[in-house]
Amino acid sequence: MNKRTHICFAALSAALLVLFVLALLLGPVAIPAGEVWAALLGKGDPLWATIVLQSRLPQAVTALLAGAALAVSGLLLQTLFSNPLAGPSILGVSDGANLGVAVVMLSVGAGAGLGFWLTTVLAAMAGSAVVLGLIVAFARRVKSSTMLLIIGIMIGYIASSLISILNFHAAADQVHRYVMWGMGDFSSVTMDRLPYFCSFVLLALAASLLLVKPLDALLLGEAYAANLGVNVQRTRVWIMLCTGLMTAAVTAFCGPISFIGLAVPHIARLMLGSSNHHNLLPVTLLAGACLALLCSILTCLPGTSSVLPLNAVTPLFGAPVIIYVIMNRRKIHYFN
Amino acid sequence: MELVLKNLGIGYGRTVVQCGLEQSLMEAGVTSLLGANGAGKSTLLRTICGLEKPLEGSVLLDGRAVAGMNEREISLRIGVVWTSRPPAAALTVSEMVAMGRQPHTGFWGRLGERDRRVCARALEDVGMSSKAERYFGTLSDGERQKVMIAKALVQECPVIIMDEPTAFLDVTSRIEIMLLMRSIAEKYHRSILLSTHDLDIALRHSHYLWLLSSNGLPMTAGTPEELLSRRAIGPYFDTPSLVFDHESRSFRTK
Amino acid sequence: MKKTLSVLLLLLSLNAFADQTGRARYLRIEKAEAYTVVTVLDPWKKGSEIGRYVLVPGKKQVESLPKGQVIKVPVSRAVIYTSVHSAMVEAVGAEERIAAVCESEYLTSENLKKAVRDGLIKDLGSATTPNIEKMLLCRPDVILATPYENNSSGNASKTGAPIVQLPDYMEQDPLARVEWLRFIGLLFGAEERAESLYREVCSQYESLKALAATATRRPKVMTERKWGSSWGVAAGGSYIARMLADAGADYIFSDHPGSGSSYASVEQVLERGRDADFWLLKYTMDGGRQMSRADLAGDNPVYKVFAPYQKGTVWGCNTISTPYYDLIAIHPEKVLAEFIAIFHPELLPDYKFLLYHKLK
Repeated sequence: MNKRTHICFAALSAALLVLFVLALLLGPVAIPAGEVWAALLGKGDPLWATIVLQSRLPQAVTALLAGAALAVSGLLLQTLFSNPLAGPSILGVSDGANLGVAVVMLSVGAGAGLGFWLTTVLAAMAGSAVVLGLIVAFARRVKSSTMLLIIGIMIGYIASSLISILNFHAAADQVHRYVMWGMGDFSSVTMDRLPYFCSFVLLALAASLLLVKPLDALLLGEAYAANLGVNVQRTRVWIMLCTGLMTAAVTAFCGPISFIGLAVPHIARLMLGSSNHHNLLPVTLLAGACLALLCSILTCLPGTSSVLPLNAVTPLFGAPVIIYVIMNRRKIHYFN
Repeated sequence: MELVLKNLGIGYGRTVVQCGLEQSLMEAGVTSLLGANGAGKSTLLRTICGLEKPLEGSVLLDGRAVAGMNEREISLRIGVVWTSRPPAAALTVSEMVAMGRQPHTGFWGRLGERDRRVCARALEDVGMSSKAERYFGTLSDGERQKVMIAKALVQECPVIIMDEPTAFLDVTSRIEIMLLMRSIAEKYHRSILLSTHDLDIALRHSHYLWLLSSNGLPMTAGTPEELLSRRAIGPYFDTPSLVFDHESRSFRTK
Repeated sequence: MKKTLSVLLLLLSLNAFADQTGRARYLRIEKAEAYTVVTVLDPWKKGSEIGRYVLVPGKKQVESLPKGQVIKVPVSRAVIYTSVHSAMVEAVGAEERIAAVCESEYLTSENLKKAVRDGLIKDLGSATTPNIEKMLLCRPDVILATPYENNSSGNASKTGAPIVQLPDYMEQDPLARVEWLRFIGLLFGAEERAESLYREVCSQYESLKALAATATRRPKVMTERKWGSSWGVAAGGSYIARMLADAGADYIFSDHPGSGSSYASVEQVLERGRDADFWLLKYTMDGGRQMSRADLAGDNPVYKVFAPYQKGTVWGCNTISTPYYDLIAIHPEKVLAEFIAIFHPELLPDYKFLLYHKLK
């Protein structure tokens, strides 16, 4: 590892720690830092403790994991499709997950409690798996990356259409719940749902880390990768499973969140100056966690009474990064 | 490591491009694969590497059929260099070359002492040591191909397959690459099979030639001198207006 | 004597042109001998008007009319966009004069729903894009619309009928909203009925308010639920906040700025409402079903942290199967009674709930 890489890791780790602490300290209600610390230790004023432990802590943990998961999903897809503009939202994977959630919330019927949420996650997984399968099938026939992206967008539109139809026929309280979910929200993972969320995401993140070697090989294209000993078909399936599970879990628990999957891998590559997944994957993970925490903090600053929707804040960071990358693609080494 | 084509039929789908191929790849030398477009050079190379399945017959490596091997086994025996550049990535020259060590490294792909030495020597052999930390994308076409050759070298495979490796290079680079492959074949005892359209350079610098025909003639092989003295080359390339002259080793109009 | 008489006459004549409304902020009614001028003020732009209507009794021919849109009253074929306004027309007994409504599925009155089924009242579809052709076929002589900020009432002007904008929902005083019945009464020839209804509602409301004031405790009340990442609350100046105060309760956001619906963060609600005494919320559930505590917790487990959830003092109102919105507009005293019965059951011992139910 060279010096630049060391600095990246150190800076991101420090930023992550600082942001996590800030997420606990800052919020619409002003709580003194000492009280926050006391609450974490299980002592202190029960009212502050409720806010810190029931609202701020789960939200911070969710943001951290969701950001990491979305960023790594984006990276996996960008490497798999050799396309720097790939991401879970653009390729329609999030829309597939949305459709899965919509099917459960809008038609399967009223439900509540943990069982319901788990069903929702499974449906989201199934939805993203279907879309990913379609995209990969198309990828065999469509050589142009741009065309593939457009196919992904079209599939996303089809999913959205189906969701509208489901909405039309659904009962009022189902629609209400679906609309709430669609606003994108790290605070919807409450303390008792958190263990499930953490398990799904950590499992998929760990599996992604195991793919570092074949991912590097895929950077050279499928023909070279096969010659280096990589079973391309199996690797593809693993990548799809990890991406599908992560996108599905985040989408099902937090609603659709845009731009983190697309932009953070670019931020990581620009920071590292390398596409080597040994460093790129962990850096992407850290950067995604940091960005999500930052956005989460910005949505509920102290002194404000209402909470900004998350999807209003993420594009403010994501879109400029993408524009920068496109404008400077001649100078950036991971473009042709 | 002996590479043998045994009654090999190649093609794709239902189209048979060549059949009944029987050849043995020369060891420790450079064999050039020649033929007009459509003769099946790329298909043959891809079948040998295991990327395509033979339509009939088999490719045998030390008696074992390539079609029955998994990717890992093939990766330890055959290295490849393709025509076009790999998709862009922000990798340095040394990282690119290090990729070739993947079949030999452990689960995480970490490089050990020996791996690093092999990579360094390969870079020297291809003459790219001074540019080891440059980004791969900043190199010229010729330099890139040299790096890909170094990558195939560090894979430490007895057989190296190359599909038109000099297609986009200028004339001096082409000759350089051929000379480089010759020295690798001799120095490291590798069996190299490369396809090319460059009849002239192939005749001058290959140890052996394989000729494929696009109009029904069976495959022919031999050293350049043999084939020239037998006047065997013309029939594979002559067109209604151009004829190959075996004395002058060039084409002339009828 | 002559002086006092002339002063009296002067006062009377002044009165004739004086504003006849008491509470409604956005409504002005000025009665003259031959006509009545009704002015609807703009709730979003202080000092400007949304509409000025000159109501002329049908048979008369009057020469010099003041500025404004002339409407011949009583109207006989009205197109009404909002179901609450339909309910207001029915409340003054003029429902046969309704020719068409929009979104008839939101009507709460069985009478009106039957009339729609029998084809006596036409359904024009969506209120934002009503079916203009059907509207033309009805030959309406007035259109009652609800204005929103920066919004027009579609192409209804094609019918040539006068469009009356009714922003009664923007009134912050619940009784002020009821006063708009007077305008309805003037339009539909049911002035006296409207007047007496208005007075009765006001007096009932005031007496209930006085009753609530005798309660010994003022319980703490929180309202509504999470909406997306925020919590939807009624601002301190809204009519709900006033009604909660009138019902003898301490609303946790009575100091929240604004006079309509607003938002708060979950943290703020946790801070103020965690140990509340009561929780009131509105919800929608098809099929007349009632929300249970399990439903609420399933919606979001954070609700379990609140004291009303734990003590079982959460009260919900299914706005699909109850006439909540109609009662708020026309009979706020009934809603006030509900609140009092919830907060101070000892004051209204035999009360039968129309809107709210305790979540089981």
